[in-house]
Amino acid sequence: MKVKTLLTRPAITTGPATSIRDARALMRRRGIRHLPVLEHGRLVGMLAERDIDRADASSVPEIALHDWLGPLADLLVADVMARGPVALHPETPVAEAARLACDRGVDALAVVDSDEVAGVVTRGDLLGVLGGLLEHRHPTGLGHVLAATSLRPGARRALGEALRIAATAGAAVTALHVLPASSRVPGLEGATAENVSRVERARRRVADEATAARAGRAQDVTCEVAEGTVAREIARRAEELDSDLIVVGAEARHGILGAFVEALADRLVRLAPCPVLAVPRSGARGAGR
Amino acid sequence: MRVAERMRREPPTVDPRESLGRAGQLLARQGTGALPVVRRHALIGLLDAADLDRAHPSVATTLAIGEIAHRLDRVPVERVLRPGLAAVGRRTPLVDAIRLMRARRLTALPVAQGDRLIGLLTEDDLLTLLAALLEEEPPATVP
Repeated sequence: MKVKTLLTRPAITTGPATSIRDARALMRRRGIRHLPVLEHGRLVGMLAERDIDRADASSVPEIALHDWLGPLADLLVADVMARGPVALHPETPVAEAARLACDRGVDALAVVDSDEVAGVVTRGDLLGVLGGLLEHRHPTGLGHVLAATSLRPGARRALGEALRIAATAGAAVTALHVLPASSRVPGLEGATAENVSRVERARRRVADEATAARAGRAQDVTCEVAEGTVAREIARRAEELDSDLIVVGAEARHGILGAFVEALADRLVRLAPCPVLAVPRSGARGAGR
Repeated sequence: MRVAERMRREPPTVDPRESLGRAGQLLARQGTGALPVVRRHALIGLLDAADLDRAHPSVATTLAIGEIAHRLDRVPVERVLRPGLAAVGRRTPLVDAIRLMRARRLTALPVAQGDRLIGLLTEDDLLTLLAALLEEEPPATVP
């Protein structure tokens, strides 16, 4: 997407010798807040409504008392405009324009094609593009996927599945591991050094698992570690992150432990604010049937 | 995508009794485009650079530079606050928040829970998101 697609033609411009009163009237009439300033057809500055506000009488009466109104009526665009405006070629990608607006801290970028001003791209225009993108981005209603991982062997498949679904739907994804709550000494709650390193170690392992599960795809995965009761913490984070889907590994095991672990998906279904997808572990019997 | 995913948590704030001078310095340093105005933990308004520009003496002021700073240090933020406060909840879809920012011409949008400020959506963060979304690789096509 190029900046030329955002321009309204013909460009609305002003000149350095125009009075700021006239320039402001033009802005109001056209519902805009920036005017490229042209002298002999060449771009020499950018005038923003804010430049006029700053140069004009103060909104605070005791300060405006000292504003000498006579000369203000004679102020010209050249007196208040910003010189050396940031200019772009019409073929510049919109992404680059957005970064430039941030980096240079400007509200409007002039678009110039071989010395001829083609128009202005403002922050408002760029936000409009973002609004349009977001509107068409999640037709599936899947904006965030929470992938809970036990970090056990075989759990990677669930994480991989979560990342694949998120990538397909264009959803953000958070990988979460829940550590059992550490025993707390009354009055000494919170971050002990030992606990911090335990959490940090786990977070690094989640990040490693996510890298492996991404399978070379360029995808942002937020990695998190929580402490507490597994199902309750996953549900709580899903609520906070406004997840649309929780993906967990259904790690079928034998015996009492198996029954306990398998119950995670069941418990989550009751606690979670969104649907829960249980993925069989790699190599599990019945997987894929 | 919801507001909570993109808002800044614990954004810088300003007290309504703080001076315009100090608020201007804070705003320039923070680069958030606007400062939520908070009185006793309650969000009561939003101060942006345009508010400060409107309060600034004109180019034809008879005040000396030093006097300008002195005057601005004596005007509290609450004197220039515009009526009407826009804020959204953390679960508001980002699309709706952006629409509100454009309609109200806001350079930042406070995120609140009740009357308590919990975050700030800034124009710069949204532009960074736009650049990131546009630069993403197009989704792989199914063979």
